[in-house]
Amino acid sequence: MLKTDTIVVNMGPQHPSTHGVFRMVVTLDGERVVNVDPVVGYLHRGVEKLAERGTYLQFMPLTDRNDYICAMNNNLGYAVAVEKLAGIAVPERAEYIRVIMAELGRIVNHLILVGFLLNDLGAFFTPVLYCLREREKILDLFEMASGSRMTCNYMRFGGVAADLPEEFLPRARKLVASFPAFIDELEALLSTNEILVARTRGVGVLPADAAINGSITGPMLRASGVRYDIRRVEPYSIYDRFDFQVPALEHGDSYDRYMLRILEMRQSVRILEQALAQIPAGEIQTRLPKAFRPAPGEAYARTESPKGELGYYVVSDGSGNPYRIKIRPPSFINISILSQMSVGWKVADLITILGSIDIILGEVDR
Amino acid sequence: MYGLGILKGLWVTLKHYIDTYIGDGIFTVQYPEERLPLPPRFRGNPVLIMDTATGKLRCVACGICVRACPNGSIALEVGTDESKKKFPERYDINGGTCMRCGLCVEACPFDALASGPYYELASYRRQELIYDKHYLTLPPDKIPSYHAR
Repeated sequence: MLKTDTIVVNMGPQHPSTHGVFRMVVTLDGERVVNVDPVVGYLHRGVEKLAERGTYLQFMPLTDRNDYICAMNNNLGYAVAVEKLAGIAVPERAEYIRVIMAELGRIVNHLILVGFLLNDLGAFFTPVLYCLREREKILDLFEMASGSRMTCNYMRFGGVAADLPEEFLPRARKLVASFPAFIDELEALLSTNEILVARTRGVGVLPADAAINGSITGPMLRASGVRYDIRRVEPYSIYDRFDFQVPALEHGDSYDRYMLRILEMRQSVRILEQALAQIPAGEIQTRLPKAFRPAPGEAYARTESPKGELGYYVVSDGSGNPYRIKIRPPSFINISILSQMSVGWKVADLITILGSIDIILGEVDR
Repeated sequence: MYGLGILKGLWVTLKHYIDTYIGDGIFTVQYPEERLPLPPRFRGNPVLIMDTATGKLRCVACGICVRACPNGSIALEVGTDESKKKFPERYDINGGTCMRCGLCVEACPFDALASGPYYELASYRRQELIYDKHYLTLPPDKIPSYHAR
């Protein structure tokens, strides 16, 4: 009988498939994964501490840099939290603009995920290029409205920074109208592809009870069969006005996690169609006092970011600076289930599982 | 049938290959030979607006932008001219720490700051990233974002 030994391999922090500076200490028995130790913290910038140093508004550009793929959703989460803390009302038009931006941000995030998941599977740069091309069109819209492609810094307490430029709505409508055709094409390319199905179906199954125990949120939870979306169960902004479905799938494997992102993009397009049709004219910002000082208190607001529940916990002591800001990033919580999901799979499947979780290291490490 | 999905995928890529020769064609911009126009609201580092009529800065050195900056990238020294009016004796922006958030432009009550059109900011020395008053002074017609507001 041949005696075998386990071997410890360091994957990352400079491994292209870890989507940033993420390190996995993998114990292998041959090709099989025995244990995974995620090591995070390489991108730690102390964002929560930086928040205490400046005013409430000065933290807004830093939220862009948490989840840098979809800055708009992070802006929205923080704005909603501070508005809850200070009791600020948001004008109608600003709410619509926020929903449009947040849903465009969700599409951007899912495009990136689908593209780079396929990259990890070895379909090198063909699908991701199509995805990035569509993403670039959306980023053009962001740049048109906010002046920056990725670090948008667009939301303000009680509204948004600037009104939409004139040509924004026609271009957004055109983009949204052409988007279902693109998703169909992407699905023709990928969804029935034998290699993709063979590499993802049944790989890294996350049962519903394990997902709930691990407080997993977002597409990962819904792919495991739990129909839970904060836009539906605890509507913020004006999400209660739109007609959309919360997709859920039952297997909880990597294929379902991929498929769920496709379904969510279709739902985002539905929300966008309604929001772009209904957007009213009017004010875009509530006037705030020059020195913005919320009354002492605390507020926790949660929003459905593309990756899951994004929570901002803001404590005020009555001064112009926040006393404490705690961010609940979805990626950080979702990554905690990685070792449980990947034990027993091969090294190549570990990459698939990590890719399907959808992490952003800016958000994991903050 | 096995392999059908791959053929279907190849058909999509083939269509895209043909599309680069018909229809919209190739839309790659040959940077740096070709450049796209800057989007109107482009957020570069802030620049000081000079009034074309008088040739003077609008800035009155009130220091609101200095306090609005999250990173403390603006260094301001106040001077007074012969008619006792304040002006920025020194106005430096540290381009290395400026994150182009535009909060200073939003905070300025005198409309004296605008997001500048500068990009391609790489330099060999850190000192070159400190932009002084002369580099930052621009007339309104050189600043696309000034008209977009």
